[in-house]
Amino acid sequence: MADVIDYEIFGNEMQYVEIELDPGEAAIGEAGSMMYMQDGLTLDTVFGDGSAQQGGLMSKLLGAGKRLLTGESLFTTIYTNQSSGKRRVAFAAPYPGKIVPLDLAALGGTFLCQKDAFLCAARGVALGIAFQRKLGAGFFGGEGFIMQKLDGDGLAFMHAGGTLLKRDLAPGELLRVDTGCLVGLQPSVDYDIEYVGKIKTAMFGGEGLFFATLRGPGTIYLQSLPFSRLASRVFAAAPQRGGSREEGSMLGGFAAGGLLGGLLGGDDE
Amino acid sequence: MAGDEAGARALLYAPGLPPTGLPTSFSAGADGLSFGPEASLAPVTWAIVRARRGGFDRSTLTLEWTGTTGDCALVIADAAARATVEPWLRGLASAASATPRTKRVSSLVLGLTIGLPVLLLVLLLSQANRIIDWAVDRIPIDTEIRLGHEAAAEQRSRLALWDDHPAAAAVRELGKRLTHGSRYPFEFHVVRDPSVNAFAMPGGFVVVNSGLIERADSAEEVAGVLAHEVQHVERRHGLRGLVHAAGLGVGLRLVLGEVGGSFAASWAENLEGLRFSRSQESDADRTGVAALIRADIDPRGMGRFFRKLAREGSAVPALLSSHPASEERFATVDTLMPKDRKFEPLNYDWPNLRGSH
Ligand SMILES: [Zn+2]
Repeated sequence: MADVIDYEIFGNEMQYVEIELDPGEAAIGEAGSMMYMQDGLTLDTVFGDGSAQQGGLMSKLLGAGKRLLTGESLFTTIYTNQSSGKRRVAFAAPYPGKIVPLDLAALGGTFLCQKDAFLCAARGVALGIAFQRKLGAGFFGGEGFIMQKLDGDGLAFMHAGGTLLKRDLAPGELLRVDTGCLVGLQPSVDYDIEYVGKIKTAMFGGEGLFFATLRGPGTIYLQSLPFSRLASRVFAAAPQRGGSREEGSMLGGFAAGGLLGGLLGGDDE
Repeated sequence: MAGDEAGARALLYAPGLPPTGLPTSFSAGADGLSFGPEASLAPVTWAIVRARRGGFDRSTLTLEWTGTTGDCALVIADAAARATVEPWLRGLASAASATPRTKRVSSLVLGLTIGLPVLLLVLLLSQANRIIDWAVDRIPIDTEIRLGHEAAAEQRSRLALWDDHPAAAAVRELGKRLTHGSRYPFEFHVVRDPSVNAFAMPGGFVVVNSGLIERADSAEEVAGVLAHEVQHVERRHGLRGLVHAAGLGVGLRLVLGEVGGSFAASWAENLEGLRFSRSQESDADRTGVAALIRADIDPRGMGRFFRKLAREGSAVPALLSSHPASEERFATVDTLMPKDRKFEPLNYDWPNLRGSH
């Protein structure tokens, strides 16, 4: 159903993925992650995710509504090969780390990744969301509350910050992970938020107060350097930033990448 | 039972199979589970199978058992495939098939997302803050109070409440006077804490540190702080801040009254760190002064206390770090003071009540 695309990943710590499209094939990508594309590719910005199932207006609106909730942009960019030969388009990782190819067919048809980890996919892969139904998870493990859901049988690519760790959890096997370090998981894995230690002290360190408890079966991917962690270190090291900080809050970190950030922050950071 | 043409499908995890699970067909019958040829796994009987609702969003049916080679699991995401199994799980029915309330609420949330996009599209691109405010305004008051209660219960265990402090009764009386006729069930407490601070939680749990009481020279000054804090509750500033920080998804759930215990606990923890915006502070000043006048309490105590803190000492008191004081803010408060009204001094012997320094 999804287009069968070929790809090659280049680079070590700052990677990009080059996708080869046969005539008529297409890839979808987050706006702002495209690195280059060859002549003969047309670039289309579509409402929703451009997947085949999105027929009627209603389903398009539903898809858009879901994307609103995840903070993704409402529009997806489709790169279609309109030429008569093979053409290439490349998508680059936004910060140091690894690009992970995900073969959705082999993964059982569905995979969940962190909202900002999705890079690109073959046309036909549907982008959706998965809610964590326990509210506590949403509130304080902002990164885990709503995951990007990739549905289909084609290839998709996500980006993990730092060093990548793939873990296969056996049925019933438990693993506690930092919510930010969990970059992707099979939907078969149970997910629970647990908070550990005193918030008050952790509030100023900013790290590790909420753990996601994962229970197998299923495969998970961890990133050693969540972007939020990198950003907070950079931010902390930056020269004194003006006096007033009252508009922000201790919760500000959780809001990063949230709804408003995604909608108003533009796509080219 | 082997040849079920319906071909229910699921992911099978077992030793020797791909760690990401093997997409396989299966069928459920009176004897147990059997699997398609691709799985090359012997049938299992119900006696050894445990069922639970699992997966990231609790939407899958996970069947687990220990086979001869190790732990195995069948993860069924598809609703039709789940339905073929559920009749055989009667013994485990409560765990496996009870649909939690959260599911209904989530469907509602999803339902809203169908109806809202048109509205949201127009508004969100230009008016993101107003969407949040729209949601906050629709959070039912009993949801807020319930959350506040749970959060307050959490706070009680962490705060050193000092309700028999010599000034505690006065604080409660002043608080009652300032919240007369309020829709919130306010509670006022003194806490053993030398820092000069006070805070209010959504729902009406208000705390004054003993350090603040010692620093005040009159009941009017304390009343001024209380009036300000009470207005943070009445005007839903904290709630607004939390929803702003957490995003609209959480806001929508709160609108629907979807709250849980662990949420409230975490909520309580984070309230302390919450900062109000400048406009919320001046809003609380303004409405606080009005509340003082309504309660027939001299409102000048409020400005006097904040000014005093700003002037004295080198270390910034905690109250001012959470309530940035500025001459501009004081000046605004001054303009609100009634010129031609006399107030009876409050009948408290504050220097005596506040205890020794
Ligand atoms: Zn205030």
